[in-house]
Amino acid sequence: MAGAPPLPQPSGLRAWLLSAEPNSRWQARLGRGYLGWRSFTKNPLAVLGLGIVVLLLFVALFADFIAPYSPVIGGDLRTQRLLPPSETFWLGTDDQARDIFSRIIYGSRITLFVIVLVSIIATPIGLLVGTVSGYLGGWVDTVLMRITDIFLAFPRLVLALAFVAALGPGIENAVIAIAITSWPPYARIARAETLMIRNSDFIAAVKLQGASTPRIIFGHVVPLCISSLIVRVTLDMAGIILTAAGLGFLGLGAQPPSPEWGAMVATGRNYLIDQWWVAAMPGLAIFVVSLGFNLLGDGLRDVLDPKAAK
Amino acid sequence: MLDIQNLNVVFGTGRLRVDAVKDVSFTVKRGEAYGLVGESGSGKSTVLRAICGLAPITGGRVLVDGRQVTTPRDKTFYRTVQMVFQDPYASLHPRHTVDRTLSEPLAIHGEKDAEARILQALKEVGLGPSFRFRYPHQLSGGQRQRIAIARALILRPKVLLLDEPTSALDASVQAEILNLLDDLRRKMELTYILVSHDLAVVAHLCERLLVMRHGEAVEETTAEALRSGKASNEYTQSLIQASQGFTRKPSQATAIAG
Repeated sequence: MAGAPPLPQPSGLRAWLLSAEPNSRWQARLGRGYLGWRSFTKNPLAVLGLGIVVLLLFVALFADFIAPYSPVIGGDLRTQRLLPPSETFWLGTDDQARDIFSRIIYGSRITLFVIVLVSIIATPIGLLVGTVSGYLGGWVDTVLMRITDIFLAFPRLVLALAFVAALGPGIENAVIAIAITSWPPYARIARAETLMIRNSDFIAAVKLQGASTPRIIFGHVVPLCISSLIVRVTLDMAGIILTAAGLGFLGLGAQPPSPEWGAMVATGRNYLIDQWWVAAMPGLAIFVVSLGFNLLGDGLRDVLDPKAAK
Repeated sequence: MLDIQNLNVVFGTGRLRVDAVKDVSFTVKRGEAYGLVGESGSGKSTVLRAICGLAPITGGRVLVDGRQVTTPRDKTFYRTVQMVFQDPYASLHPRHTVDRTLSEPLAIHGEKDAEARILQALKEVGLGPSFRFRYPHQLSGGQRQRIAIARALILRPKVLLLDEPTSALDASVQAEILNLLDDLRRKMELTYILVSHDLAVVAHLCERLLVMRHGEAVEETTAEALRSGKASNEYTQSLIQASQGFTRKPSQATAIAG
């Protein structure tokens, strides 16, 4: 037997990333990111989730090149209506003789639009309300938390319905409705994290350096709240997609002929028994993307929020 | 430099009222190291926190450099008085590199030349530039406490409040940190207020000290008196005895032997 195999020496780049003595801010940050990436890739399901999300981004970005047909203009209504999946129409056609595959491809843009818009509206609001109320405490906390409670008590879909009914149907109004009902949980999480942090010595230390309250909140409290919030937002993505699809299904989200997945399922409802693919294909797309975000969220939680893992 | 007159600190009201500090007065001269000694719960840390504004001053006066402190404290105060905390594992922001931790006070006070000041501060506490971009989890307890000291000194304060700066460290590192603090005081002509329950630490670093119990000052004495065991107060005597560790009374020992 040969002696024990030599331990694998880390290659140049990896050694640089894992260096205990980084030479610059960037090296320190990248090294930290690399460690996170390593523990993330240990979880195959999380990588699968990331793959699905990356695929969604890719498809939305290159929809023009991927989709073989137009998503809105149908073919010959006499011969190409409600065709089953075939080589010409991979996922079949719907009642307007439109290629379902192309519609799903273009629909990914709408889904992504909803997700991105909701998260960039709801996350900052939740983060701001939560950290401010947690850090300042007192009457500010009471007022902000009661407002949060009020929003938390609204049923999401019903509020969205009321909102859309008032402002008129459309994907933008649906987004706003979803966003204003999804920030309260983020505020709660951010507040809980802030309450844990605010009495710690490192906050006292920066107070003793004369830091202003906004500086403490944004520079010292927010960075510690943000990771658990990212996890929560990612896990909520599935719910957001489903709510958007639900609004579309009820005819209150995206309006025809736009290829929104929920609206597509709604059209397929009429042909559910005989032409199952009309409803099933967009339903499958909703399922896969929601699953992808859930898996990704789980993986991120293991990396960013070790306390909550397992 | 520092004049504390009849300081009272009260937390809570009514049934929950706690008198943490009762009528404590002492004066610290410029360049002096002054110790606050007592058991846990004696209010010694609260005195420090009241001086720097982390605890409320309910009664009495705190004068720094002849001027009474304002609530909230102004920027001049923070440039004059800085604090080092007990637990170096809790006093550094876990997501900030050493560089960020040290540049924060400079940024707050609009100081220029941050780059050079940070390297200088690291050098003062005996750490090389290789430590600059590390995160706290990449440092040992002693190194963390050095960073905390560097952070406190980077604004060039005149008074340093030390809240049990060595009690979270193991014995060999304790000595290093104490010697570092002693050197820094001489080099930078700093005034120290050291809070500790460890009489040896206080006797090593301070000239004069105040013994506290249940929020009250028991006795002001000198390190010299402490070392020679010549304390006038009974409570101080018992503290000295306790610090010498457990000794079996000879009579008991013979009784068992016989």
